[in-house]
Amino acid sequence: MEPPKILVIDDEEISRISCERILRRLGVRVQLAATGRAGLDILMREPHDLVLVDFKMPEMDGMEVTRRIREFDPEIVTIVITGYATIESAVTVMKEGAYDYLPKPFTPDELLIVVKRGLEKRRLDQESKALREEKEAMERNFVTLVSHQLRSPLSAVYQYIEVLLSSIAGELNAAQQEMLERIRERLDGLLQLTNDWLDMSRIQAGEIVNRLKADSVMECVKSALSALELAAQQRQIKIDVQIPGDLPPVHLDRDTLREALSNLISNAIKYNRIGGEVRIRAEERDDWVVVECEDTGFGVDEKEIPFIFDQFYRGKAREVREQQGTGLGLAIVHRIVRAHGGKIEVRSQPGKGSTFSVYLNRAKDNGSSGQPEHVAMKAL
Amino acid sequence: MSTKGRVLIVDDDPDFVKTVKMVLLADGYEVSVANEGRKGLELVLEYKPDLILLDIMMESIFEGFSFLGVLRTAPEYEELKSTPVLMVSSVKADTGSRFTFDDGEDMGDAPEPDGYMDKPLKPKDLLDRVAALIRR
Repeated sequence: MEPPKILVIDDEEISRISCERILRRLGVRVQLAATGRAGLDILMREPHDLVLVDFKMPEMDGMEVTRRIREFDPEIVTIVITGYATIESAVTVMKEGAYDYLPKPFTPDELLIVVKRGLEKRRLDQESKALREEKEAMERNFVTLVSHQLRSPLSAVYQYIEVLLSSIAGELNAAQQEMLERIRERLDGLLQLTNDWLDMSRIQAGEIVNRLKADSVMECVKSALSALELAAQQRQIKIDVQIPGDLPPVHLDRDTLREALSNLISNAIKYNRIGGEVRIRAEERDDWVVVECEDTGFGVDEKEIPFIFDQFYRGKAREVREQQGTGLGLAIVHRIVRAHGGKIEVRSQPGKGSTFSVYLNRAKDNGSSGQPEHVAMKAL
Repeated sequence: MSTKGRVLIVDDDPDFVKTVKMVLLADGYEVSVANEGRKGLELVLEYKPDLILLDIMMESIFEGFSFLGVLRTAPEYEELKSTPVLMVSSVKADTGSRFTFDDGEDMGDAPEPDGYMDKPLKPKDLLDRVAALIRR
């Protein structure tokens, strides 16, 4: 570690030199300045840990120097050397932010004690600052860290299975192959569960409100759809999108709204009959822009509708149970839509299909900046 | 000996390293391994890989980015700084739970890798990406 740096500001050469000589015993680096201004110039160019400044100097006195140092960097420890050590002058400089004062004349030991204590304070300040920053970074990245801890072992296991299935480690017989494929499927479910669960904790209403911007719904629908093409093909589902080009923008956060729409559309594909249809529409209704996702699937029993947005709730129907799912998809949608200041409605007929309607706040006509205040109110 | 290319894996998870190594070897690559960033940087100079497979979170959470920063900017890596880097992490990219990439203050001007993949890697996807990046 670098030795601490001390700056001595004193207009009397003899005091400067003797201070320097004494302080060198501490193994610190010492710089000298003959005026307050010269001292401040040095501080601007080069960070110091501690400043010793004489109270009585022509032009800029010790009090003024102390004040300016505090403005510039309050973490620098300032010690004022005062010739006429009255209680008042001491109190005054302490008020200006000095850490301590030293009355003249002083012995080398007295100087060393005060300076050592000042350096110790500086060290503790720096340490606690570093710890605080580390803690804040941990908090900021909490979800990331948990995600990493959960997903790393799963990923490692998954890759072993992939390697085994690719026959790099030798040929498998049919039974082994089948079992490993089953393991991989279950593991997929587990990875999905950790993702969904992490999404739940990530979606903090307050943060979404801060990110809301007037934007087009179409873009979100498009990007949600692009990731679902394959799933739709596999179940031979036809997807029909009808969004008018002149639809007004809404207050939205692209990342999360795309995720909400993606969950809805993915459900509409997953819980649909083979060869079924998914229709996505959007229209303006009063102050809302309503996005609807309609499917031709199994539908939801009326009795179940109040529960489908609950965490971990899964439909009772056999067709639903046959599909892999975490019971978090709709809970995530609900949370995201609420954070957008919107609402969601469901209509369903068992055996015919369901329609999920997402109500989003239409942005005011005057454009892109938007006025998220009223949205924030509704999201609470 | 003719191989498809030399790949350096920088990752602290021995199981990840083992499986990826098997996949790459089986496909005809030469593979070298470092289990932390500093060792990885030494190996870059020594081994001059055609591609680096780099984990983001190792001992520290941004270790992969520090590695990449040194590789792209330090004078001793001048000749090797354009070695393609494929970054991997088990922190999923598309959920946004992966760090705060769009937070300028947090990431500063973090260097960009040439590619990014989520763990777990599927052998075929991995080989496709590696081949594409080396060919480039």
